[in-house]
Amino acid sequence: MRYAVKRVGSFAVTMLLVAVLTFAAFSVVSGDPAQRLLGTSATPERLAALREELGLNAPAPERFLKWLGGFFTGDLGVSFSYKQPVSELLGSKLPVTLTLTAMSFLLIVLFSFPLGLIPSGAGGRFIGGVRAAFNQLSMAAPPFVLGVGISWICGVVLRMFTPGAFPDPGTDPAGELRYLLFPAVSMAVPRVAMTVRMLRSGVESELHKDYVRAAAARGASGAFILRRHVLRNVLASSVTFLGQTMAEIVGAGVVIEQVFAVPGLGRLLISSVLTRDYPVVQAAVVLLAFWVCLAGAAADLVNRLADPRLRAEHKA
Amino acid sequence: MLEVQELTVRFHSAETPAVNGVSFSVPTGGIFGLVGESGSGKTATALSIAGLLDCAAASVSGRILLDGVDLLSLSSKERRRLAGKEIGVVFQEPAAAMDPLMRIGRQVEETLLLHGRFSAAERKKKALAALAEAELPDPERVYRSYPHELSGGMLQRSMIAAALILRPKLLLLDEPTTALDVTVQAQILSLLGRLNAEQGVSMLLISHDLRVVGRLCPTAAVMKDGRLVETGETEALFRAPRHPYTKKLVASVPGGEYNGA
Ligand SMILES: Nc1ncnc2c1ncn2[C@@H]1O[C@H](COP(=O)(O)OP(=O)(O)OP(=O)(O)O)[C@@H](O)[C@H]1O
Ligand SMILES: [Mg+2]
Repeated sequence: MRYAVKRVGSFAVTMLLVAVLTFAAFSVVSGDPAQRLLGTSATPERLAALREELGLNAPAPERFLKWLGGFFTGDLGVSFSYKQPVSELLGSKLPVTLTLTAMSFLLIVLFSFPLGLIPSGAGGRFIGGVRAAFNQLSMAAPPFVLGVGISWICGVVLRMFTPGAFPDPGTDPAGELRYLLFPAVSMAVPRVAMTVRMLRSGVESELHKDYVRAAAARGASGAFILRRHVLRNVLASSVTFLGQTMAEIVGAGVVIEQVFAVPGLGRLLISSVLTRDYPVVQAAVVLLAFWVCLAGAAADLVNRLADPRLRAEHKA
Repeated sequence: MLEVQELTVRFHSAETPAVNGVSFSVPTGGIFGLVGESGSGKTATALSIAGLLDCAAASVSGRILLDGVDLLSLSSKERRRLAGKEIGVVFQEPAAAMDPLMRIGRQVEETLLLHGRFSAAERKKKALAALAEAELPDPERVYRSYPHELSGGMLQRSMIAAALILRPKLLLLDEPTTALDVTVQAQILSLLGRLNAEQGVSMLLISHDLRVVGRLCPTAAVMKDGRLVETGETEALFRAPRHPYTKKLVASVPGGEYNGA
């Protein structure tokens, strides 16, 4: 219980820090939004009126608190370029990005666990071959090149989907999933290779531990030891890595949405940076950071459930 | 009951054999000691008797007769049938020899899961009895504990309980007290002496410490660089060591005197 309080506390502090930095970077440093909205030809009276309306005359700390409160009340201001409430805008993009991230993560788990945990002997040459293919693919190309490659081969050459033709939100859920599969795969492939390597070295190091030998001394076969002892230990030790992978996908998603023209949070973020739509940028950055922190917290939680030693450590 | 003849263990990665033509025997119901400094090949000897050396890493030759059957002539499946049932093993580091994520009880009763059909209730009953037999206070609590919740001494008692749960003929003890502090060492040794006397399980006790062997073993062998340099009654080894290496070992024992069995 005390652990939960501590964990929530550190979560809150991290998020507060992110919010302060984001606000400082975009609100304080970036100049006058009223000027940006009205252009250089605006009269001083209109500028003053708009500043008043946007609440820009208040001191920075006050504006910060008001903005921070907006994350709870949903009032995050209005987008400069879309003339739409920021929360509405983000809310409409969030599901696509969530789906993309979840799909990619699921693909990583679905492929890397069997490839990493089934011993080389059991699956024989086939599994070895698939593993080598993932390794080659991921070493041959950095993720965004892989994205461009997949987009070109699957989209343009094989016509498995039409790059850029993402279905209108809500009209075609199956079509959305189909479209998202390709960016999700592009993000997953290099991470599958990494995760497989991590799992295999985890299995390797567990197999050299004394408890494996002790189980063998009781008459346990290799398969029995793997199933009953080694897998649990490897999984417990890989949770943190998976949490980091989740965080990485969130970051990689920003770029990959751009490559595949996926109308998600990442794409909104980049276009808002380009148009200096600061209310949107600020809120999107905090939202993505929140997500990354959430992945970390979830990893910690699962870790504690899996490993009794951690539970004891934090109780003390 | 256990007769080791010309045992030789060669790790493929090493030039010289880790065990080189070693012969000794453990009498039925007796305790035989194996002393030697670090790297002399004690663990390699124990692991080859237990069948725990990976064929890919080492080759084992010679004969290991358990009640007349040469273990080295058995298939790996046949050896697994003996492991835990006829031969129990206790390792040096009790904390490392336990799966950190699994409760002690499930590890102690694992041998039952692997040999024969026991219901969950029977397994638990036998595990609690084995823990009590290893003189653990409050076996119920130990049964439910995770390894990190117990002291080294309690873990080693649990390991002994696990190794003896099916009443094997032979118990291999590879430095069972080295990782423990002195008072706990003495307790574990007297526990082993009692179990030997009461259950009649034969034991091979390995240690680098002559005193440990002196306390329990009527007969012992001294090992150096993979070879046995001297074998005989432990008392004689202490009183009149013939080999210079044995003399050195005896001289290194504080007090220098034989005060064992
Ligand atoms: N897996 C291995 N691969 C290669 N050489 C090994 C391996 N295990 C042990 N050896 C070598 O075999 C020799 C005997 O090792 P062994 O572990 O049997 O010694 P020991 O008497 O048990 O020593 P200790 O007191 O340190 O436990 C050593 O020289 C060691 O370096
Ligand atoms: Mg050893």
